[in-house]
Amino acid sequence: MSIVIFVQGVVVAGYLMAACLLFLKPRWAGITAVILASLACSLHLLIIYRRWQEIGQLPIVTRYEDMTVDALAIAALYLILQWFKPEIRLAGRYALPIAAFAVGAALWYNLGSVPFSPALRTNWLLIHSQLNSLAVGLATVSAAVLLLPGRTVLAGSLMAWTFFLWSAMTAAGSYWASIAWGRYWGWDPIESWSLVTVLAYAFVLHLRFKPAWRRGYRVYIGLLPYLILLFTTYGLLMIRGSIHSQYLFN
Amino acid sequence: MVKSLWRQLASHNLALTLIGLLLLAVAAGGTLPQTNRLSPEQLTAWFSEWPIASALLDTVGLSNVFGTWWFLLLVSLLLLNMTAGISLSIGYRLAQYSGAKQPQYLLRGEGALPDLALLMVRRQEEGGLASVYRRGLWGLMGIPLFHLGIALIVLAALWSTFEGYGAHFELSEGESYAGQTERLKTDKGWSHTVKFDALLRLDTVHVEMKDGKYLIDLKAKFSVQEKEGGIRNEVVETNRPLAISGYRLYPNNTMGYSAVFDRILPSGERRGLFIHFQAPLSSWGKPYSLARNLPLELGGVPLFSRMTLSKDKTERLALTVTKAGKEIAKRELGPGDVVDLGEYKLQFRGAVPWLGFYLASDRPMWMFFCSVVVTLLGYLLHLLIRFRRVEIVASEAGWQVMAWTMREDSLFERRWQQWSEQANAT
Repeated sequence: MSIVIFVQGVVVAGYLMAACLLFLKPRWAGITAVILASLACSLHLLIIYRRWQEIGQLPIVTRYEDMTVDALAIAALYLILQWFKPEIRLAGRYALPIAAFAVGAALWYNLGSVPFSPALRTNWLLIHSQLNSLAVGLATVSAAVLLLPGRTVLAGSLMAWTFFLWSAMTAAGSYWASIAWGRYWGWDPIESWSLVTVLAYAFVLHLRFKPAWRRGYRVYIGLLPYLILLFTTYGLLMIRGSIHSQYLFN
Repeated sequence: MVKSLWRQLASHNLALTLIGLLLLAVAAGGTLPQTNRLSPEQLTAWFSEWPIASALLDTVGLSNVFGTWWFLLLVSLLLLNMTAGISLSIGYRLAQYSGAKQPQYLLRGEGALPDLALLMVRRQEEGGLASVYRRGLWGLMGIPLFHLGIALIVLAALWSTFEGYGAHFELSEGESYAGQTERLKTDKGWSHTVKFDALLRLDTVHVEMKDGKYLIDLKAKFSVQEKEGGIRNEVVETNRPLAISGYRLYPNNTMGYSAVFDRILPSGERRGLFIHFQAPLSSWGKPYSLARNLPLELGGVPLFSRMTLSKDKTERLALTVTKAGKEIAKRELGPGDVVDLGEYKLQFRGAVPWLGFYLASDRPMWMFFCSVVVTLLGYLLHLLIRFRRVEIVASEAGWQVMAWTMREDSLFERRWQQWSEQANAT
C-alpha cells in the first residue's frame, strides 16, 4: 500500500513539474514538460494496470479508483491532443495540475477494493464509466484551452466533443438502468444533474454562435458547464443520496 | 404573419431562454427534496423538521418539479422551438448545399485559374465550365437530425409518462404468482389495468455473499407457464430481466425470509400462507432473528400479532396474538407445530427465502432508445463530417471561385486565406 502511495506521489510531482515548465518561455521547457508528463502518465497507467491485476476486476467502482482513472483520462487526452494540435500544449498549465490534484485527492479515500455486485457485472459498466472518464478528461482539457488567449474557437470544438461524450454516457447509463431496474429514467439526483450538465453545455454551445460571447470576460462563461460537470461527478453524492450511491463505494 | 410567428418560435434567443429555464428547473428538482420520491417516514420528517421550507417549496411548485404543469409547459415550448428551428434549418442547409444562398467566400481574378489543391478540391477541369465540388451532405444534416432526435426523445418520454407501468411485489421460494393485483405495490401508472396471462412459480432463490457483507450473485429460478404454451424454466437476475406476458420482470434487490404456514380451515381445507420478514444483507446465510408486527383479521374481527422468525440450528417462530388487548395465543412453533386461532388453525412449515421483484411495462421505451441513437448519430455526423461546397466558373476572360461551408470550419478558413494570398500574388 505504501508503494502505491509513493508511486502516486511521484505521478503527482511529475504532472506538477510539467505544468510549471509550461509557464517558461524557451522551447526546450515545453518539450521537457511533455516528456515529463508522458513519463508520469505511463507510471499512472501502470498503477491502474497493477491494481486491475491485483483485484481481478476493473478498477472503477471505489472513489479512489474512479478519481485515479479520471485523472489518467485528463492527462492522456491532453498529451494525445497536444500531439495533434500543438497549440493545445500550453493548456497543460491548467489541465495537468487538475490531474495531479485528482491523483492526490484519490489517496484520501479508502484504498481497499469491493467485489462487483450483480448490477455491476455487465459490459455496460465499462461503457458507462469510461465514457464518463473520457468526458471528464476532455472537459478539463477544453476548460484549460478556454483559459488560453485567442483559443475560444478551439475550446468550442472541444466542448462540442465533451457534450457528445457526456450525452453518450448519460444515454448508456439510461439503457443500463432500463435493463437493471426496469426504468430508463427516474429523475434520481445523479440522473437529473447529468441532464443539467447536458443542458449547461447545450446552453454555452448555443451562446457561442453570438460573437459578443466570444470576447472579453464573457468567454469564461464556458467554464460554467465544466464546474457543473465536476459537481455532478464528485460533489453531488456528498450532499444528496442517490440510487447510484450503492454502486460507488467510499 | 404565420411565417413571422414561426420564425420567432425558431429563434435562437428563445432556445437559449428555454434551455436556461429548463436547466434551473432540473437542477432544483435534482437537489431539493421531491415529495413524490420520499418514503412516508422521510415525508413526515421533512414536513416536521422543515415546516416553513416545505410549505414554501410546495407553494412555488418546487416540491414536485417534474410533475408540475409549468415543467411540462417548458418542455413543450422547447419541443416547439426545436421543431420550428429544424424546419427552418433544413431549408437553410439545403440552400447552402445547392448554392442558392450567398457564398461565405468569393474571389475573382483574371487569367488562368490558380491551383485549387489548397482548397482541398481534388479534381480540376479545364475550360470555361462551371464546376461544383461538394462533400459532406450528411454533416450538413447532422444538427437537424440531432434536434429531431431530441424532439422524439421528449415525445417518447411524454408517452412513457402516461403509458408506463411499474409495480413491486415479493415472492417466496415455492410460491406462485398469477397476476393478482392486490399483491402489487404500484410505483407508476396507477391507471394501468394489469393483464398478466401467465403463471410464475419461484422454484429457487440463489444468493451469494462474499466476506459476509458483499452481495455478488442473485438469481431467481422460475417455472413459467404462459397462456398458450408448456412449462419452461427461466432464470431472472440483475441485467437479465424476464420478458413475460407483455411485461418484464426484474429483481429489485430486496430480500428476506418467509415464515411458511398452512392455514387449516374448519372444513379441513389447507391454504398456503407466506409471511415475509425483511432481512439485512449482512444476515444472509447466518443465524437470524427477525421480528414484525402483523395485523390479522379473523371472522371480521381485527387482531394484532407479533411474530419473531429465528433460525439457529432450526427454524422457530414465536407468535403472540392479541384481540382487543387480550392475549389469545402465545406460542413458540417449530416446523410442523400447530396453533389454534379459533377461526382456523395455523401450522408452521418452516422458513424459505423471498425476493422482491419489479414488474414493468413500458412500450414507449423502444421509441426512446431509437431516438437516443438518432440524436447521438446526428451530433456525431455534425462533428465528424464537414460540409463544403466550392463552385468554380472559369473562362478565358477570368475566373470566379465561391465557397460555402459550415460555421467555424477553421481549417477551410485558413486554407482559403492562404489560397487567396497565393492567387492574389500570381
